[in-house]
Amino acid sequence: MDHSMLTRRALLTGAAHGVGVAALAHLHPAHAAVMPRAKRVISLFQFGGPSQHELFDEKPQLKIRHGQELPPSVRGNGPISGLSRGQAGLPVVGSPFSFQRESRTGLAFSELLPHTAKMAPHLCMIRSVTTDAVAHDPALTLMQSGAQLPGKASIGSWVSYGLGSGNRDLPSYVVLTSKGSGDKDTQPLGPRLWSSGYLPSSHQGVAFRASGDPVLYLGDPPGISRQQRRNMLDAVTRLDARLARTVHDPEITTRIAQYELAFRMQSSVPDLLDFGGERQDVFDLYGADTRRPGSYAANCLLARRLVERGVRFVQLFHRGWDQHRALPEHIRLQCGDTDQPTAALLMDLERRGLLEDTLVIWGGEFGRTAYCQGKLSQDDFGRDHHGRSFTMWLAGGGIKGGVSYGETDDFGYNVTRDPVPLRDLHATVLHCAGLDPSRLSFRFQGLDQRLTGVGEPAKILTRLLV
Amino acid sequence: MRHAIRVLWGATALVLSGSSAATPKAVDYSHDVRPILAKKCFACHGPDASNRKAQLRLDTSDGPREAKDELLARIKTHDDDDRMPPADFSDGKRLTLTEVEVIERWMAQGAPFQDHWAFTAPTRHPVSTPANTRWPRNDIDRFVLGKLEKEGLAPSPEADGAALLRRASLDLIGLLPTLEEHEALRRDRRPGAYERAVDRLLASPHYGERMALMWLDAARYADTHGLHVDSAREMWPWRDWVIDAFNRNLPFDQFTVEQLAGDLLPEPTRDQRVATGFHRNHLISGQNSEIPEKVHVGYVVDRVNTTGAVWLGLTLSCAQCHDHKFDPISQLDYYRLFAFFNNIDEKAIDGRDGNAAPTLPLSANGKLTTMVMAERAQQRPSHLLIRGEYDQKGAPVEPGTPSVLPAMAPELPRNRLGLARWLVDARNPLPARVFVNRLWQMLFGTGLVATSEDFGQQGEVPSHPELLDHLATEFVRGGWDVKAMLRLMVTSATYWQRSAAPAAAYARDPDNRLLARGPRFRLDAELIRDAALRASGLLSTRIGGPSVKPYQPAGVWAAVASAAKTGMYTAQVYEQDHGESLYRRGLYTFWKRLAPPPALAAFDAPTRESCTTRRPRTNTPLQALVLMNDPTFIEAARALAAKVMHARRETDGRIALAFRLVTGREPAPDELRTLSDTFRRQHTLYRRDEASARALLGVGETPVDAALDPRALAALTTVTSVILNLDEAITKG
Repeated sequence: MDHSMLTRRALLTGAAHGVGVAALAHLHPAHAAVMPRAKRVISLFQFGGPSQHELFDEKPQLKIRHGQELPPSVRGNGPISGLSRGQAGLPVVGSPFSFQRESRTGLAFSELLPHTAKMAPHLCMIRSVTTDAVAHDPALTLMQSGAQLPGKASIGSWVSYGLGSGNRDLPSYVVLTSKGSGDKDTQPLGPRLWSSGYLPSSHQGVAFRASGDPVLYLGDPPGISRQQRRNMLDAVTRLDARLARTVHDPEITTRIAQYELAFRMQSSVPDLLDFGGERQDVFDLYGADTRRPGSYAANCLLARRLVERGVRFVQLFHRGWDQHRALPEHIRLQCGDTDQPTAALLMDLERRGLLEDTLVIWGGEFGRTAYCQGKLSQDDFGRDHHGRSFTMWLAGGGIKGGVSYGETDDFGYNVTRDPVPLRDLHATVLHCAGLDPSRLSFRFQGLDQRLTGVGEPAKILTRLLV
Repeated sequence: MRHAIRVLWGATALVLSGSSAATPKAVDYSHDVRPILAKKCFACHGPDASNRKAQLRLDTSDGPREAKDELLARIKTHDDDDRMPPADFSDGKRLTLTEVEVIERWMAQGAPFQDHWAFTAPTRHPVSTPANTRWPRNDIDRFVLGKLEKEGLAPSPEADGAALLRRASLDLIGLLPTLEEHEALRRDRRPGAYERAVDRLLASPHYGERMALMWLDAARYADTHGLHVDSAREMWPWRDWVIDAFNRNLPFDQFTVEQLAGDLLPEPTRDQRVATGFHRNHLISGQNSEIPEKVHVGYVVDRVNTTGAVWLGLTLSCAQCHDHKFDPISQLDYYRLFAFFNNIDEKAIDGRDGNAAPTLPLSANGKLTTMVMAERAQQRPSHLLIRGEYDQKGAPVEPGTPSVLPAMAPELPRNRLGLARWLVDARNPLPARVFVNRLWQMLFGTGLVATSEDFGQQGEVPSHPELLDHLATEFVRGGWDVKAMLRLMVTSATYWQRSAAPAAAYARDPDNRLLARGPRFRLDAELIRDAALRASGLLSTRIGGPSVKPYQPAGVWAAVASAAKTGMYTAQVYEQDHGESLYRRGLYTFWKRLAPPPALAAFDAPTRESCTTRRPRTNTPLQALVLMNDPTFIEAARALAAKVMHARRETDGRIALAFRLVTGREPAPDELRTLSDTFRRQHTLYRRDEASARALLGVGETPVDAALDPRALAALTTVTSVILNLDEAITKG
């Protein structure tokens, strides 16, 4: 069955009869096959590849062997990132930061993450995530869409497609971006990453602006009332729907839906963005940066306000983790930006009873190497991209907290137990959201496209689930 | 699409093979085999020498043949220790059964090899001879139709004259046709009327503006420096040079040479030196903030990467730190290109004055300058930079071109001028293909090579390889004549097709890769603005000059302004212009890189921080908000309403005229009814509430026409606003 056809016809019929188009968004395809634990998802994407060695995956051997060559047996046959190839040696480097075991769970956290550590009972630490890609663009694309080459649908648009909208007045997939204090990287971060690919384009992520007012042009001009705007929009919709019946370009149908959404956003967004009703203790919780629009902290609070309103998928991209050099200095800055707001978000969700049905994902597109890139000095070094093993954590809706999953070797280089390829991670996220990863598909170009790929079946990581 | 089907059938075929009598279709190396090898093998057995495993190279002609038995055994074994690609490499990169089968069949055919198509010179292929001989107007159509017939498809009917004129006008000058132009075409009954209209468009001074739009993205043109305080620069004289060069139809080879090396031409003219601003458009750093050598290397790297993307369609940047993993571009190749651009002494900016040396004075008092290239007297030595680090110098390198491409002619100087001449040497297989593909993308929405920025082995293979080669060779043969190439494209029957098509056609080929219908896609950001201003009569047709600051919501610049000493630096506070500057074409809007014009950014205009050769084309609610509420579009709606009130007496006539000015066609009776119903409803409200009518008319700085009844004008303004918000208004179809 061709869902795009079905959707379009349904939308057009609705539009022609003056029915609010978004009402039809509830008619999502019957992909929900399991009991949903999470009704919404927040992805805290740490863009650039944060170092697991400085944050979560403590390896005493790295400190003991600091400066010694990475044993060839550890490195094995796999390729190493091109960036550190050609380097005279690959000296391992121990983290300069101290680790502590959180008392209730025994999970290790570095001194850089005192706030996150307090939330340990909620976190499921996956130490064995593994990705095929070691360059930013393909790795991001893979993490976002299940494939390295562009063109597939992103995870947020899959969740939107599968679950439909939880709030007709806001986009079902919202993207928020922020710049970190660490490395001023220039990796592109564009709409391709939150594109809906072959899915109907109404499921694409809607990116709020990265600085200043998140959404501009919200207010109607003076002299146009809401009722007048409604009348004007009805005319636009009627004429566009008429055009779609003869031209058949699906973009027209999407535009009709986006106009309806824009109309409702005019009412819903000012309220969403008005932090005035938040109590002082909320600002204290998220930290001083919260009052600066476009900061990671402000975006974390905004994420809570979005999911509170039923937005299905909120994705933050925080830049600055690509620490090829000056890692100790930059990672400290990055953690300064993110640790408190991240923990605050979890705590805030918990207080409001939202954490149990909101899945929170923390992680980057890959991790970083056990060995040094560039010059290794007393207190300075860099780490290269590392895809073979890295750490992410999940929390909230459907996830078992206070546990860790997977193991890496003494160097944090290879996965030694329970590897988690991205398609298993994707399958688990979909499962938590009540979607069957093997059935959530879209027929395109002769194939049933899935987030988890059309090749080998993906595994749901059942041991992570409550 | 054929790919996907083949995958499915391949799996079935494998099960049936053995007994099946059907002769398997021959495997094509470029189409079937190389994509598999490139994706799953080249990372360890490809061009990158320092990381090659087992000394096995599979991206060459002999490699796979020599390793045949071992290779087949290793990809077919069930023993995980032996199987290739290795298990620890990654699960995703295992070969599927179908892929194994493709490789087996290819080996059985003797493993015929072809060099990657983009690295071999384009050749003229015999033109297809489709069964339908009446449809084609030129050779483009014969190639397109040949493929359509193979797919069992037929072209769409011709678009009507008005639709076609609107399409061509938007494509060639970026502006809606006027009613007079529509009328002239309708009255011209002689054969070749449309062709004459095309010639008129190509001769218009607005043609250069439209073409510049595409080129400014590629050249990462902006009005601020992009780093630190992001202060202002003055590069608009270069932008005006581009407009003028397209208008003069400067042949593309000369266009290339002047921009890359105008300063090195014998006795360069002032214009030729202005042209070299192309490679001064990159981000420029502030004083004292960085290590000078690091900054310098960053500039040179940007020039290499931009040159690679714009002229070669290659992602050279991969080779900055290591040999390219997928394309035969070594790190040495990279730094040899680097050496061409490494010979300029650049100064930092300090955020107070505009441009950084070297500059060229343009006014008598020397106050107006533009940044240009200027060669150092003494050649600066270049080195391979280990891992791309500015302070990790490896072996010294001399300027040179990538070894996979035809060598530089010995008589060419080893400087930027030689490099530019090498790029546009007819033997170079890439620049002509890359540029005609970009023209195709501009007209049809998707290039013949969809990845117009990457013609390498990770890029897409062309949908119509013979057509691409035909156009590239035709382009060179015709003297790199850009207008002639565009004329060929827009006078083809392929371009002439109607874009309306059955739903099944859109579903089968969403991106119109087979070209069974005419192009239909949303206009670029700047053209959406221009269309509204043009229809309303507000548009200023002045060409060139300093960039302007039209309406913009408060706080957009403030959010990125340098916190301290805002008063010290330029381009920190947005001071909106007045008068004519509010109505200039989008291309003249002041482009601040850290806060690009928000109404344009909502429609996917890039930040211009780096080279962009293909904009995304999203469809979001934020775009609806811009068209509904941006004062630019409200004021345009008001001016359009006033214009039609003066021209017609009856409401319906007024609405129909406004509709026609925007869409290029008469509204159907039911469309007109919808709009006049809207008018009546709004008019009733405003008759009771004149204050609201006046409030609406107060948006925008053009004075309200006192001769018109404000209540009727306001009501009609809401209707023209509806028209400007239609899908058809912002779409080329």
